[in-house]
Amino acid sequence: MKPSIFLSAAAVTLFSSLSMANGLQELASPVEIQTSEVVVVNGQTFNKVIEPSATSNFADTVKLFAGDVVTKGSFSLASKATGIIFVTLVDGQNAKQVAADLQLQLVFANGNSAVFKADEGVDLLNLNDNLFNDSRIKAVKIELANNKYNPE
Amino acid sequence: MNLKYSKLALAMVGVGIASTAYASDPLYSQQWHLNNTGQNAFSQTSGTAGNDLNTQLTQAFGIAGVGIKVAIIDTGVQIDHPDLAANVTSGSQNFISDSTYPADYPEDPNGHGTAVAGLIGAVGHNGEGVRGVASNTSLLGFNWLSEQTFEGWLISHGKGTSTQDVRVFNQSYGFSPIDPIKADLNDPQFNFEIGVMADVSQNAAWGRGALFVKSAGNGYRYFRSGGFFVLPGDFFAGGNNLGLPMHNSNQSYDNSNYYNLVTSAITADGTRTSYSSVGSNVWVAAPAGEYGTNAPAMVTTDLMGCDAGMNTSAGLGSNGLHGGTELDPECNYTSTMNGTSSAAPNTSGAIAAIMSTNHALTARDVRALLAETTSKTDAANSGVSLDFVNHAGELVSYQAVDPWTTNAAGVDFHAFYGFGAVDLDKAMSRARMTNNVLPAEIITPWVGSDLMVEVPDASLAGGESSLEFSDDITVESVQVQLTLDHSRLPDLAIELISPAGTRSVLQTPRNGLVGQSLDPSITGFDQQLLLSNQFYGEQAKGEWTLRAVDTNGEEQFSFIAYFNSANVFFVPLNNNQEPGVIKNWSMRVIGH
Repeated sequence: MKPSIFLSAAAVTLFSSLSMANGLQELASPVEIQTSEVVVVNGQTFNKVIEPSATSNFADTVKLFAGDVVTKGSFSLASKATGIIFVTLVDGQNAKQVAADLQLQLVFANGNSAVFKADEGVDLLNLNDNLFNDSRIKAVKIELANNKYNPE
Repeated sequence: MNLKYSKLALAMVGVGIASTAYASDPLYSQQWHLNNTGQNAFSQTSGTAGNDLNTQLTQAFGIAGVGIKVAIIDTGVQIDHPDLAANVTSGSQNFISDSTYPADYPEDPNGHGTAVAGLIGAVGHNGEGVRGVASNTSLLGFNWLSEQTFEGWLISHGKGTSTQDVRVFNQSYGFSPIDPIKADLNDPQFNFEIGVMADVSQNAAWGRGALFVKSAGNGYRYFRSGGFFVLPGDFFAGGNNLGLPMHNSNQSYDNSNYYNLVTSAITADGTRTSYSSVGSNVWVAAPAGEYGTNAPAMVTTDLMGCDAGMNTSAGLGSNGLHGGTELDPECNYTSTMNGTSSAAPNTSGAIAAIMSTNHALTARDVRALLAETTSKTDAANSGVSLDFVNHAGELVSYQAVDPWTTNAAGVDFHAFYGFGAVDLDKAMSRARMTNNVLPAEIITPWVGSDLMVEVPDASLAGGESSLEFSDDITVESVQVQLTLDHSRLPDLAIELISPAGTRSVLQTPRNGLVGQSLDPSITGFDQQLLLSNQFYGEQAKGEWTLRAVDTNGEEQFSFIAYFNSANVFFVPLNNNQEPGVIKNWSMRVIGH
């Protein structure tokens, strides 16, 4: 666990305050996350946000649970782990059977694509490793939802 | 045959249908997108007569959208609005987890979705407010934008029990990244979403398929990426990014997804709106207008009451309609809706109308028919030429956006407008005459090239890589996946040149792909997905060439990250003058 400074991009400079006459919508100010720990999800490195009240409970091994928030910095949207796992099955495998064997809920299947949901309290990183090592599964991805879509 | 039909239609109009069609929606006379007479739509200036969806015969016949379900995937829809309720069918869903509304009431906390719904299918001839393009269609609302869960996506995009017979999905939403996004077909999530959309597009509604209509984006001048706006470095000095789009619509991988029919936005004068994102992936353009103050916007439904939505008591004075005026004392309508969010539903409404005039047409047939019946808007537009100083110190010019060009199959295309402006009456007329527009669809395998090709700094010569395509089919769309190392992506223009010699600019330079300034681990494009519709009708067989041109040798290119007036960051991207490298690219053709 380490404190994080998220506005650390080299050479970024802050303009002096501008008038609002430019017509741009005023959005929330960037927030510096004070406490986080590095976590690798889907092959990408994030900072997992640690709530101040939880600082005494962090473990040596980083875990990721549904509801945990990760971010790459103040210029990126924060994302939340949902407990949804996308998998690509080896041809001919039955998604329902795979889900049952792994004690996961099958949300939807389409061809050799399937979507599973883990129970609350399941460490998604550990689950990801288990799925990755299952010979019936070709590829795995943990869903990180970030409400990225806006009305246009 | 066409002529006889038109005469019949005119005769029907002459014997009285017209009086019904024109008289009974009080605000119809200001809906320039349906019939542009040069009205001002409550703004300070007027549009130019004739720049509209051409809906007169369709409105007169009154069959606009009968029996066609349209899903509005948005912030929500106020389904008990007096000008929507009669067209709302069962199956809407409320995805907001802590909502006080019922599960089948898609609460709209924003108003955006309610405005979109009115453009598609506000009830016509009911003595209330406005009229939709497809004023007899069946509407369902989903407030997925208000809570973007995966389950909600699935239900609202064709895999719910109430959406399996939906034929048009309106998506007036998008995201605009600053980082290139890897479109890895081995990525389970990407693979899953594309698989669902392909299945729904081809097989929904008992095999006739559905169309996903998508807004191109509002990022020509600047765009929102996550929590801030991305502005060109010259923005506060009055610059305009050298006339080039900050957000090329192809930057968003969902816009380069073949299964999304992407629409750009035009004004009441028939030109590109000030904000509309553009690109080679645009299929058609449709009316959307400007902001409703200086120039006309859309006149459509708003959240009911003067304390909600775009039209509120506080809005008095922004235009002639808002603020509880005599024309709309209950503030149930707005005249400031705009955005490609408006172009999409106007296109969705047109599609619903076309489908309703011939239910046998497949979604793909309708997509083709829409393209083949467009009108060439803003015909004199000259595109955008970019002057820059090359590596030898010479001032050179690069045509970053072409004017209207005609491809080898005789099809006109402009990156601002795709095939052109939607012409509903023309499309309806053609739809009545045919049950089969296109032969069966062929999607070829990806064909790739792994050559390492240098892209010299600041040089019109660029770097080129060619591949031989052996499938002898007719092109509808072409998709490219590109991996290219470059330290400053906004310098690059990416072109694809067909065997017949047609050039399509897949990515314009000086764009907002500026993420390398914040994340130095980004080496360039990694399996970047790009799409072009510009080769429509050409033969695919032969040599295709991908070309990357570095248009900027200046030491520093910068952008502005704007959170709010107190948090505005100036972010530079330095030029290392090292050449880029095309590492590999591949393409596939969707056609017949």
